[in-house]
Amino acid sequence: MAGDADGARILSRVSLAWAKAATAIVRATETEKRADAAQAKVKDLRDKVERAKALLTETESRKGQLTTEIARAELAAKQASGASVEGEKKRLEKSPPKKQEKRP
Amino acid sequence: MKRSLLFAVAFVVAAGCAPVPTPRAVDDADAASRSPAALEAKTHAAQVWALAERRRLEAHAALDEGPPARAQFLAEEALATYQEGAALARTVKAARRSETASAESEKLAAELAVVDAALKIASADVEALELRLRVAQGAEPPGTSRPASPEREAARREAARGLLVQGRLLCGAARLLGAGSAKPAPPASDKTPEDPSSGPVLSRDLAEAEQRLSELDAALGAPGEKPGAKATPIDLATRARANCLSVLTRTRRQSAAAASGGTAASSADSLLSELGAMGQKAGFSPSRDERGVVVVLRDVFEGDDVGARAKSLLEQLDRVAAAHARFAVAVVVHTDKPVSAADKAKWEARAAKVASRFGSVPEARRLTVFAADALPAATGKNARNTRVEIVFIAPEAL
Repeated sequence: MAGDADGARILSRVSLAWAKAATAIVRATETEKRADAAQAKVKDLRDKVERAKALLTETESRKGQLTTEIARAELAAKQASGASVEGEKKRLEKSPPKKQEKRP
Repeated sequence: MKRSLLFAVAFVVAAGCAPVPTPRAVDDADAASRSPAALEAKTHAAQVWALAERRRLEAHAALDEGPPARAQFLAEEALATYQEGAALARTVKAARRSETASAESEKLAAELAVVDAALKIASADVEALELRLRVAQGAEPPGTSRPASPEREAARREAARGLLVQGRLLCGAARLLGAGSAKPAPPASDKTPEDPSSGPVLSRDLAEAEQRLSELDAALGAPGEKPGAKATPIDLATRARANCLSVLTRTRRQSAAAASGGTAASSADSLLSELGAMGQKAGFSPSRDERGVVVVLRDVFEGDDVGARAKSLLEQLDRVAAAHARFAVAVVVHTDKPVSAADKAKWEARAAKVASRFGSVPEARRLTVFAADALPAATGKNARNTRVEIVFIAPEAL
């Protein structure tokens, strides 16, 4: 092989080709890592969106339930308030003012 | 012996004529060219793949032309280039995956922000509704007052008269702020929930509250009626006033929601400080209560007309009212002694004269109330009770 300039040139190209291949493999590994991380983030976000949507549905349902309960409670409170006035009407109809009690 | 010699010669001849074996690297390069990785490289890194193919074919050519070492080196180069091509294909695919994931991430993040915002609003609504429910469930029903002695009944009667005037003022203020303009809602039901601050509900509740005020007015009888002659509807009075205050509060809440900003408190503050500065020179001290900002004027009338000093003060107050157009104006006239039915019209005319001094305020935004001696500022028959209150009705809760 001594003095084989063509062989030396090809060998030099071979080593360069392997070096380029190694660099490309390193870059590929890094890019794949980044892609994996991005996909993991997507999965995480998708889970979060799903959870938030489920919570929103639950909250909306609670809202509806509360609205119904409030309507019932407020009507009851209003009726109770009206009842005190009605009770007073009966008192006014029945009893004239008491006479002042004499203190001993 | 001869035979073995013959065999040896035949072996040497056969060995000398056998073809040179293909270098292993060439076979490996051929195998690599058929691998899935090379196919990927062909798709995603065509240039590098083409170079690798060229070297492989050169290696095959070198097998024929020699020397074999050259074929091996070229095959090695082809192998390395195939590796590079495969790695580049992986990079391209990973980059695309990353790009797609980033785009999806952005989309999901935006969607999450929307859902989170909706959730925040819904949670705040639920919190407010839970509080409202607790208030409704925890509300103690007002008890019914028991019969009382004539003295106590007389005191109740005085209190009820005061509550009646306050109720009129509060309901009137609510009307000035826009309550009652919508078509009244049907009676409340326990099935259909209603928004207590909605226009129709406010109209219905305002009409009910005013109905109670009328009932109370009728039940209290004429001002000159002998106190203690009949029992006083004190519960009706408290309920009527409470209902008017509730309508006013909800009207303000609705108006605040429509204005979508808490500007009322700050505008009431600026109105109060403006009136305070004016009062230092003019000799009055403004205050704030549930109706709004109040200025008390004394010695307003000279005979049946507004006096000169009061006219000047009212002119200044009118300018303030013009600068704060969101505030309606109520004029409340108080006396220090009961007023007979005959004199009532005279006092009401005086109150109207005071109200008419507020030319910058549209008539629909003015309210006149004659309170007589129902809301004394001092106990007993005190001259200080004769006064005129100018109330700047706050459009939103203070």
